[in-house]
Amino acid sequence: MAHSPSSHDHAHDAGHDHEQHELIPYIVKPRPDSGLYNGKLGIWLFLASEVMLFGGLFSSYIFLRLGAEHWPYQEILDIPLGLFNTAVLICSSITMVMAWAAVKRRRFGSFLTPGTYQFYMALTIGCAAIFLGVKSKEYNDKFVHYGVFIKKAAFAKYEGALHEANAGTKEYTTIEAYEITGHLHGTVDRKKITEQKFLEIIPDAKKGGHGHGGDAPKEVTVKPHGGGGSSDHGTPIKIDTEDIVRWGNFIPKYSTFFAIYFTMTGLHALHIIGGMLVLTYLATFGANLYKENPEWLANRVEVTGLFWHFVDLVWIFLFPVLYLL
Amino acid sequence: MDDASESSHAEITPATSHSTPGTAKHADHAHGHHDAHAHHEPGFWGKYVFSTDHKTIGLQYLITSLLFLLFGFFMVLMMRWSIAYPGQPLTVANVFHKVTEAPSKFVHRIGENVKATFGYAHDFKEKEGAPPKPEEGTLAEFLFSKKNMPGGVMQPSFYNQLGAMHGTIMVFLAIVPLGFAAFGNFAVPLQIGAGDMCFPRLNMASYHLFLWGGLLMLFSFWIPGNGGFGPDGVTPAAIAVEGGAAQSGWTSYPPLSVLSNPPLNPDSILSCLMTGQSIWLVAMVLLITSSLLGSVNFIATIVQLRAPGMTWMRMPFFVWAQLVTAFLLLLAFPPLEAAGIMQLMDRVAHTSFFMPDGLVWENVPITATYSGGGSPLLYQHLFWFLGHPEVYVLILPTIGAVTEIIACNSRKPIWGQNTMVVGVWVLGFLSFIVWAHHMYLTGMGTKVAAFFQTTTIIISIPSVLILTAMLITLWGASIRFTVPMLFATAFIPLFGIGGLTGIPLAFSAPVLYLHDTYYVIGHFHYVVAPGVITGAFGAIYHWYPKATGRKMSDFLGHVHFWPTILLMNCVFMPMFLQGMSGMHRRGFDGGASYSDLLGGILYWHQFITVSAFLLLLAQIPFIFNFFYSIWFGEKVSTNPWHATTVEWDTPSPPPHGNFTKPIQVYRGAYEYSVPGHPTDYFPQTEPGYDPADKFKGKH
Repeated sequence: MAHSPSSHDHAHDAGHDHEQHELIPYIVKPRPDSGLYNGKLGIWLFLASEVMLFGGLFSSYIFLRLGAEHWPYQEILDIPLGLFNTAVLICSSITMVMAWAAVKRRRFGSFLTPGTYQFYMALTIGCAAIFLGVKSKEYNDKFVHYGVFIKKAAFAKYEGALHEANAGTKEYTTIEAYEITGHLHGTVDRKKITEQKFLEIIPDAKKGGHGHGGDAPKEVTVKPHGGGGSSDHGTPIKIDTEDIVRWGNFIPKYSTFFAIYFTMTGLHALHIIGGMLVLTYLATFGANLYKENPEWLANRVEVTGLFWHFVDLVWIFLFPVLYLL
Repeated sequence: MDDASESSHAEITPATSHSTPGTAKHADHAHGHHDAHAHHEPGFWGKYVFSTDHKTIGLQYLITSLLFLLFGFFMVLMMRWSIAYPGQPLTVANVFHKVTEAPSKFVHRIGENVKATFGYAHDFKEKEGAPPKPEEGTLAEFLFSKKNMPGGVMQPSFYNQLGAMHGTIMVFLAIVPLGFAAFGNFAVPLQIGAGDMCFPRLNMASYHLFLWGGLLMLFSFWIPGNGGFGPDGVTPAAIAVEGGAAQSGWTSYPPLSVLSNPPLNPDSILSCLMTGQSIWLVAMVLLITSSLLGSVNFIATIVQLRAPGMTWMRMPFFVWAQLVTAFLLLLAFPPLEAAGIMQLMDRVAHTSFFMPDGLVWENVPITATYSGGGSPLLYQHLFWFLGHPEVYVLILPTIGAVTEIIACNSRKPIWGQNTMVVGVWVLGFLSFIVWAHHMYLTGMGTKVAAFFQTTTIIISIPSVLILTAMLITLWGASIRFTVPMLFATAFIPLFGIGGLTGIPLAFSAPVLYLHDTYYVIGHFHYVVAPGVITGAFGAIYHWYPKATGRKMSDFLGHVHFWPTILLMNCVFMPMFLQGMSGMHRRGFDGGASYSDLLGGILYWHQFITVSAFLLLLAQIPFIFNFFYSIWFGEKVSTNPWHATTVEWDTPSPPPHGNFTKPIQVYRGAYEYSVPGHPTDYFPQTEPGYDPADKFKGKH
């Protein structure tokens, strides 16, 4: 059998990566007084550092949100998709533990044998891939969604049309402008729009029936749904570029909300990708260690799992903070 | 099965001959188990470049950081020239002229001062001819391009580049790697009786990330600009791009740092990345990753790989200092990494993390490119959350090394060693809650300022405690003034000056006046330059015999020590005077435009600059000694200083695996002059009673 552990489970500690092992004890067995093997202590310290990294970003989030005039999370982020992704990641954490348990129980198996190490590793990697796929769909939804800041002085020109389209508007006192969001009709090319001196936008509909800038201080617009969104089929409103402070799609530079949203989820996605690389290595080439020292492989899987749970945990904070609160 | 049980046994008790570090290679008794895997001698690349041996990595760090230290020193010498002699060409002949005429000018100045004090007629005007004119084809122009130093005269933007890079290189590429990584890598595993660091390959990765981060930082000097013209070289460009390295100071405060060093093409991500400030940020991320890997490695090594008998309180103070430093690096650096990522986003993706509403840059509102709504203050908080623990990252390894040297050369146990350990932990903890004393002038409000004033004053308690323990150790000792001890004893008052001059800066009221003056420059340079670097020199002289088996020359050591200490004070002491007179810190011309107001103190610029050039000369004996002694130094025994700690109980240089016999530790780190013991030092590894036990009634 290709992956059966040798009969001397602990006999060949020094076989793999021999030199390192003879100089350094406690690679496989824990040190009695600390109760930890080296890798486990190392990953906990690394995670402490990661907590500070994401802690810095979460603090920045608070800082930016306190200073922002509007924080447009509800109408822009897709809560069901985010919830789905949360479930996917939690599932991947469970399969990660199952993979570790399978090595501990010496069930190596194959990618297609349920209940074995490689099977659970494949599931974990699969969950991560699903997460990234959904995330990229969410990103793409943002990239095709536009916003226009209309100068306050010129806003009266468009007020009637916007009211007719039941468009949601937001007032920005700092730059003296009204923001409308929606999907562009016709060209989205910045150069062409500068040349033709206007753009056409199909505004997002507003939730409820209040007029803009009236008694309702916070207006909430309906997010376009992935399927039967109505905003693609509305009447386009033509806005002259000379009346615009700035316009653009929902990329990081659009607002501080998108800056922190893309930075935090992007950094988290980088962690997912890094984790996937390590998981793939451990499930394939790195799994050869099982033949020599399955306990050592179990340690590596455990350490990777700790990192994976941490990445999962970061998302469990990111989801409510960005989508719900 | 016999083999199996033996091997797993070795896992738990490293004291057995089987798993003792180095046994396989050096012991005569052969075990089949190990011989079957006898490792091969690595080649040149494996031995010197991609080594996983902590001693080699420590030496790599040492050489690299000393080179960066020299680079940083050269940069500041050029800056000092511009400050003292603005508009004058920097040539070898001019430097020689200024240095040689300095003593007579200084005597004249003192004479006129005395005359003025007693009411006699005096004349402060310098009696000198017309300043030298810019020259064609000077060496400086050749080395640093016509754009930066036309005719050998420094341009303000080049001065700004040098200023930013001097700070960055000295802090992140010279002092931290020297104190933490070089000495720590070399000495910590030896001092705790370990075979190597816990994660040797991570250690190697840490060094290479540091090296490439540093080289990338230097590379940014060569980033091209457009000289004000478009790609064809004729039509004027939309933005004049100077190119070159980062210009926003080592702190890189936004919004200046986001808008300075503009890219050739703001729409291209690559172009935005290829600017001095963006390269600075990317290099910083590499350096932060390097220090993260290093700190994980140090903590894991100290927790996991202590030899049998090396209990926590038997560890040398240097190891404690390294442990606390590692925690500071581990937890304080990531917020700067977050800030670096956000600033990079601001520069490359044009987000507005740090770009406030309503900002106008060169008479144009930034709203066309930036959404605004960000907070420059956020960056300062994140930066100084790193920045203040960073100060202790700079100083603690050196304090640890100096403690080793003082204990060894005063032949006494460290006074209050346990108190020092507690003190260093308190220091480490408090260093996380004092950061905003760098930001009193940002308008945080009096309540916040009151909190940070209080914590800042409290943090002086453990610092003073540690320094006092060092001083009391010297009390009544028969001190051996070896070269390392000279540097260690000089460290105490010099670091003391740096620390005590910091006390006025802990209060927000004096900071109103002193902020951004030369007083601040003098204060933190006293901590870092005469303080840390003096201690680091001592550590190099102290551990040199262990690394090479030879001692550095005592005579050259004295020739190095005395001028260095004198000149360091000549460089930094006048800065307090200038700062208290209101001299601002950032002018490339040294405040020449304020000469009516500051006339009386501008003279000191020349004094400082001449001293700094002489300080460079004073390092030549050290550089020569360092290399000369590798091959021609006096050969010494494994324990030339008669020290007690574990690293002296192995051949010099230590073999791969560090020790030739199993290490068992029997007592504390500083058992010097133990009554009843035949020698005046009682090594930690020598069997026998533990003198501390007599207090427990066991003897």
